[in-house]
Amino acid sequence: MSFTRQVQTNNLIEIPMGGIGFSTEQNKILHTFVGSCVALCIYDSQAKVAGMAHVMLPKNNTDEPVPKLEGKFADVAIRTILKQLISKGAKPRRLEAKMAGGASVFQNESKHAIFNIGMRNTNTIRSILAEHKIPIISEDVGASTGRWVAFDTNLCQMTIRDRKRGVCVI
Amino acid sequence: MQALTLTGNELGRLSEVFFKCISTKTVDALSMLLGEPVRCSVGKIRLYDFAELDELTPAFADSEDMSAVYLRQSGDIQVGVLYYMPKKEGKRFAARLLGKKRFGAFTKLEQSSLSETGNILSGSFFGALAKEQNCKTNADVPGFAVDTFKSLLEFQAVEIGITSQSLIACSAEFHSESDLKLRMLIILDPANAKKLLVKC
Repeated sequence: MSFTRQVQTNNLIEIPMGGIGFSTEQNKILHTFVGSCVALCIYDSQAKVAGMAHVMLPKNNTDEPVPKLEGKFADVAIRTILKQLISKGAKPRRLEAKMAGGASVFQNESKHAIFNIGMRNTNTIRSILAEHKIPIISEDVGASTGRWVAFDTNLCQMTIRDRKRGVCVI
Repeated sequence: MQALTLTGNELGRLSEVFFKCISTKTVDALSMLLGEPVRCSVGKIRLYDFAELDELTPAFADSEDMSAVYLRQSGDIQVGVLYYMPKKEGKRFAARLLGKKRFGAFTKLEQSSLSETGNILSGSFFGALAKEQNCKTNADVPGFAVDTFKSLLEFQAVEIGITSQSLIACSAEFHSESDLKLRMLIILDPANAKKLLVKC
């Protein structure tokens, strides 16, 4: 059971800031918007199950081991997704990942560590996934603008749209 | 994560404080910068759960880029302030500040003039807040961006909502006599809002 509010609209599960969403039999597309945050998708292409987190920060810095917003911190988000996917029939050795986001939206960003949050998020995600031996199949990270991200669980494709570059599929 | 919340009465008091500071000092500062009268409307202050923050996104936001300046204010309290307007409006605004008749792409100078506007407006707002609430803060270096509103809001939420699961937002809209429009979005977490109110 996820605490995160999941908005479902016609086959599509909308994931809010800091949220987590999972594909279901009826809803196979996970959708979110990310700027400096990262849309991380972990999936099992055989079991056709996927989870997406809207990751805002690298590590859980709160007193709660599982904060209410399970997608907010990369470490908690990955742990939660893995647990849920395995309970839905995914096999750990078959898990793969795709991610998008981590833009440097504001200029003057090099002056403060917090402004480089996008890069810190993607680096942390890479290292946690490596610990779990989950390969990142493709990614679209960095740049300077936000992205709409949709993951189709049937095709295991991530479609990314931004206002500067248009649409790309990874 | 903090489950701290504010009562309706506390939100009302906060609203009064923000309204007073914006409608006096910030309006005056903007009016002086533009050299023309400025009107302002301050929206209702509200506590948002993270999952509800998208409700702040204007209806047109997906189809239009915004030009924006973000400033984080820290000290006695930590507050994030975003100034934004549609990109085209931002160019017109910068051209006015620089005394230009034409407005093309955003040059470094134009970006800098908008960032400086953010600095001045924040200086006036937090100066008034310091006087009203005895609350001392300093501004960080402003950041400039051209992106969708969702990106801007997300950044502000990350900066201010690190340890919180809900945020307090207050928006104000400024209209100049020559129809330049600028919006200001103030975001802080409940813990900082409480700190601010204690100083009342």
